[in-house]
Amino acid sequence: MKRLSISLTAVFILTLCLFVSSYAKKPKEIVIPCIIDISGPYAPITAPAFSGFSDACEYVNQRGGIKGVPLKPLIRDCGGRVNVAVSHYMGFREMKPKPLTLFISVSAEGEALKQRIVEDNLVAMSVPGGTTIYPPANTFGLYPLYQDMFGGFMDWVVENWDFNKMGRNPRIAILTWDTTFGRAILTPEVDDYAKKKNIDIVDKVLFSVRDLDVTTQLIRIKMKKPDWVYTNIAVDGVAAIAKSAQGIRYDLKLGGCTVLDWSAIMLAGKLLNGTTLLYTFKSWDDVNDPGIKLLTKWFKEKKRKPTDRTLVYQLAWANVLTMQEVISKAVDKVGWDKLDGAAVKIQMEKLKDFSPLGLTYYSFSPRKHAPGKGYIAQIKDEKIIPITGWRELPDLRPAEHR
Amino acid sequence: MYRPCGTFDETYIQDIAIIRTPMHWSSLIAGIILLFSLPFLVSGKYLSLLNLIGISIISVHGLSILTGYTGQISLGQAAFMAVGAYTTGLLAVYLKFPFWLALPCSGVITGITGIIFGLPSLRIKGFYLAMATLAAQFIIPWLIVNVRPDLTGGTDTLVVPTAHIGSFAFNSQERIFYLVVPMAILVTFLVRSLVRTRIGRAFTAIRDNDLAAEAMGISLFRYKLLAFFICSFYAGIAGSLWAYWMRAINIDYFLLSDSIWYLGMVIVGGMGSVPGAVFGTVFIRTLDLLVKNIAPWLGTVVPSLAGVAAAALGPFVFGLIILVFLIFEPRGLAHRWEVIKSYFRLWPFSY
Repeated sequence: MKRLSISLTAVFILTLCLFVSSYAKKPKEIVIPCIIDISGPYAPITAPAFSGFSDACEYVNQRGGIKGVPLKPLIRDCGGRVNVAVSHYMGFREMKPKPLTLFISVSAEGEALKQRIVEDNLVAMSVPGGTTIYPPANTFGLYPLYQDMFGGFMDWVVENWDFNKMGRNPRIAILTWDTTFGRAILTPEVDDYAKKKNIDIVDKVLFSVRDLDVTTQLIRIKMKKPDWVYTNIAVDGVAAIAKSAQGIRYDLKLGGCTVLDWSAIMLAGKLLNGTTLLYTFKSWDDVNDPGIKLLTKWFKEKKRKPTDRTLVYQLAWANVLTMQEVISKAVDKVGWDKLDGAAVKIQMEKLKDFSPLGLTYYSFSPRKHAPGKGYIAQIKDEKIIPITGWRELPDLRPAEHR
Repeated sequence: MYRPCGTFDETYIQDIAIIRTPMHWSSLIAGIILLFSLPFLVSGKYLSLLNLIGISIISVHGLSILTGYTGQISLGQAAFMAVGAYTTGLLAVYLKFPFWLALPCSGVITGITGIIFGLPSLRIKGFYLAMATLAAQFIIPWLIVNVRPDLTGGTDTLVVPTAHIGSFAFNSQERIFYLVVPMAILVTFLVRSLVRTRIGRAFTAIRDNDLAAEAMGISLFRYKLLAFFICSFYAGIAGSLWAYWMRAINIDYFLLSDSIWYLGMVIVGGMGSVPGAVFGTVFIRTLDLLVKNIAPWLGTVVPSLAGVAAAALGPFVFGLIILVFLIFEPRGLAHRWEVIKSYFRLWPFSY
């Protein structure tokens, strides 16, 4: 009898061990694949993501990774070329085990990979080019849609406009790049929203991403006497506007969104003072903020270059921390053995005001895959200073996708 | 044509054959079997490279006919590919054309576009013609982005449906491989045949001395425009395949830098050589990916190069290798191939 009970106990323990090892079949590591333009035309904007990913993954790993599984950043340079991005993507999807997530830093690549990401059951976070985000698939915006940010800027303009005193509507001219990214704010929904808000869009002028001088465009805009010139561009394009305006002594009031950041300030310096931004991430200059304190500490410890102190470095952190959050929740829900892109996507769509290190706010739903919060900031003494609190941005997606 | 010792032609059919010896046939059959086995042997990442090489070979063959054989420089090949890609996109999305119909239509429409931009070749040549074709690289993207952005998507990406034959969808790298590679082989065969015809000899005569060619009765008007048509037709086919391969097209995919690289592939492979176009394309495309893959590894081996420096090392190494190659083998890889073949014909009794 004693021998039988010992045998039964042994069989029971053995069975339990087998069961537990099957359920808790943890991977050795979780790969965080990133396709970044490090050597191509968008490199001045996106290259800091390289250090951002390395640091953020190390930060997460020091705190136990995702339920004890370390993260491994896998960063590939696409050189701004979509065929190279697709080639890297093919390499990612054939890894064993297949990655769950993907980070994409260029709009055109996000659009090209959108359908493949669905077919391969991954979850991607990408810069929010319109068709990348809607109709909703498996790609989520790293920050709000460009048109929503412009809408938020228009809200602020109207809030600070005394219609009775001025006796007219505020006037905004748009000066932006002739690219997918730059044109993202030129939509009928934006025009309708401006009308609804009693804002006159007096001109829409485009320039090439390679143009270093926009004097001609500014002279044309100046004749329309806008109160604001709004632009949806980054880095050297912003510097081109600021320097051209200085050249013709045009004291323009410039408006922009979250992509107009420190990388532009480093190029244009004092010329950007007074620029008003619809911002969606904590400012690096908000030195007392706990999240910024932490990033600054890492930045110093890793001896990162000052040129990496940009929005994109923060985007990389936000992406890694968001993936940590949703993968953890997905593991809780389905276990390691059933963990896949679909389980992660469900958790992504359930995120409500998730704030990685307090840097930004991510809320997604099955119908909307881009966040919708921001605040107004102004550039003063070459620093980005918040002038309002966080606020909801208008939803300016096409009606059929709302 | 050089042929191995002891190979004699007894009929005209033998004399004009492209594939002459049993060794040629066995190599060809073995090569094709190996090529079509690749989807079972290599990963999707490398199939992606092979598909890109296949599409590029088609485009470079077109450019090789125009530049290598006819001597007309073109800097607008990527723009012509854009015409092919967008034609396919528009036909497939709005008119629901099946791919087997959209593909030739894209080729023909791009060919006609090429004739329009080839008209200046009747008055100008050399660097001036290069500048004239450069105009295509500016005018065509502008037209695509601005004339009917509601149809083309403007600067947004136009999503192209998957190519189908019946219920068989070319929706993976493995499947699209069986569309791209046969097309590349067919185009290579057609180009190889074309350059041995009256038309091909007329092209060569124009390249060598256009005035002498005209004096001999070759119509410069006809043959120059024909060269532009063929070049653009193949660019259109390549663009169409690109659209079905990527399933998304954006004007940012067809830049001036791409046109210059296509020209680089012709030069590296060897101007006026059909195998050269293939060698040049394979060499440059493979090197491009190789350097991009080695760079991150280099960062781990040489920590001082880690990070952005290692990744951005790609273009530097790439440019350096191309430069070294051009200095030491200016007649292209096709010439090197001939040298190697000659060596092994005599081996081990070379003198």
